[in-house]
Amino acid sequence: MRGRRGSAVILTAGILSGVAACGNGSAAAFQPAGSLSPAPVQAPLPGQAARHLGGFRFPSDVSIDFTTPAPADKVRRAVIAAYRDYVLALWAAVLSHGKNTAYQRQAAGNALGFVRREVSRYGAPGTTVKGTITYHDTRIAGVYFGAGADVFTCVDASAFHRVNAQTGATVGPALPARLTRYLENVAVGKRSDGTWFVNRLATYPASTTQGAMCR
Amino acid sequence: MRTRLLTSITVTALCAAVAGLGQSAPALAGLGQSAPALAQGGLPAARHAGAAGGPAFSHFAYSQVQVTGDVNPGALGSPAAYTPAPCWVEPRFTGSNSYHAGDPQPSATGDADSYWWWFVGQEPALAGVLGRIQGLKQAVNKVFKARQGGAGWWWVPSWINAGVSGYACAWGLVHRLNWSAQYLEYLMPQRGGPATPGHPIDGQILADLARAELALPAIKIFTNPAAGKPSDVNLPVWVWVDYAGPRQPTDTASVPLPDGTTLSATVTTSPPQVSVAVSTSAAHLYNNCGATGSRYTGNATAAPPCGVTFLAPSTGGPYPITVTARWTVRWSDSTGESGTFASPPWPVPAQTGTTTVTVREIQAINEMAPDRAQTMTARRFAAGPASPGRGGRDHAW
Repeated sequence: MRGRRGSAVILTAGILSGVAACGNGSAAAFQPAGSLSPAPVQAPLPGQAARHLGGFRFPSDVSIDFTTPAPADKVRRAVIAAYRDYVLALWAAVLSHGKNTAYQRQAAGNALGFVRREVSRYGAPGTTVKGTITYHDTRIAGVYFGAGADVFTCVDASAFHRVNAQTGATVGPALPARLTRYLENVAVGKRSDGTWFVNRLATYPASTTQGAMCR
Repeated sequence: MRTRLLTSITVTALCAAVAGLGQSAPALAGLGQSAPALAQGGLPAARHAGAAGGPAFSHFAYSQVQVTGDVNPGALGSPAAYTPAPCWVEPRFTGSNSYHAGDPQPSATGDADSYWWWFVGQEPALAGVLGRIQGLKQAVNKVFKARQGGAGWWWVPSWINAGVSGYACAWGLVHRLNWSAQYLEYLMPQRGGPATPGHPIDGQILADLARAELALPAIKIFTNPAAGKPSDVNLPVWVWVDYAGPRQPTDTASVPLPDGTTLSATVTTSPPQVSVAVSTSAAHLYNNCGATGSRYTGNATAAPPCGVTFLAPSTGGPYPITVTARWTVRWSDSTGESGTFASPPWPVPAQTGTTTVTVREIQAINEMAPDRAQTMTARRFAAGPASPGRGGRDHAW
């Protein structure tokens, strides 16, 4: 039965790996600044170049904290790293008003849509974000067939604000109000080249039953 | 050879197209919607057949699985729901449904060709890119045209369409299987056996889906003395329950096979077993409760089959009484296989409720000999109204 393989949609495999390979010439393994350590990781270290974000520098008044220790298992560690990369790329895109496009490699599906939505909300140079957003109680619900995974994390954006870029004055929450605290659930998929990326996303506000664990 | 050539052309085109993706962000939605808020990418029109982004199936993405009976349709919508197999492979199309003129059809439910395009649509960015590649549609169609009218079945991945675990599983499955048509495989008709593709739907998976959606009835607790009325030290509190639904719920998950037969698994439950628990050691429990506990009979001198006698007053606040109904859940499928569900990982099949009772110290009774105290109690209850079955015994002093 398997002898029929190769008849056609090697085509698709080629397509998928082709997408993964686009831009690979310049993109090394995309890792967050800092390390996957048990200690809270202030991912974009103040003033330090995030080299895997194309040299993008996070402002010193922005902190993106991952407080959950990384798993020891190699595959699970790669899954979490991909998720963190996605998060960093999201905020790099927002802070750069869409100029930093590293997210295009880290996100697909509606996770890509989520990033685009946030980028569009900060498209104008007059507003930006400031403060601390914390990703905590991160866990992998399942790794499926070694190539798909399901990650939960609680997001606390209560200290993350939308601000006037000129004056620094707070003008509102960084994310929509219902997402001040929420449960984020992402699907992480493995590409043909072995790298991982976020390809689906769901959010559950902490005020809902499903998101209650993040209150 | 033609395929490989087309692939390289495609990759080149893709790189150019991906580079331009950021310039054409589709209208986005999601953050303002009810949970789960799924940010939507711009799916091509052909992929919009179903309300949930999949073709017309609410709980399962591109699956023919149906769960009927005593079910809680929302059970699989919780991110915390335990589902051991959030994805699987289903035989979905016969060879006569490989391809139809005009594919891919907007419904995406009719044939294998449409399914291929629908699955691609699960990655909106990719779908958008593919839509710009000259000749790709014709190339894909050709693959499925070649199978049209064949005797085999197309197997496709399917998954639970709630949260993201099902899709994560399906992605992993597709990646692992490395099928000839990427998202589909064409095989001769079969029902299990060594040539069956990876992780095929079977009785166990169907049973898991049925178990995950099984609705155990909530319980309503009754006591005598009734809730809100005090009891007394050394006097029994009778406990019984009503069920808000079938006492022995059952449901069935089934999937039609392309040959017209059906594979199914039915989950059944034992009669429930009720038990009573309290958090104080100063109590005597009666746990011969059966399925419903013991309604008050009007005989205050009798120890209830189901209830509790507190041996000390509730000086620190009312005593909580926890009542639990437990079931044993089994499954059997249409091929004769059967089994149970281990807890863990499955949640214990139980419903629990709590009520409270204030227990007073009755000095006169406690200072009497036990036999006299019971006699006195009986006299006092006989003088008051008794409402067996309604928890209405009123023994206010």
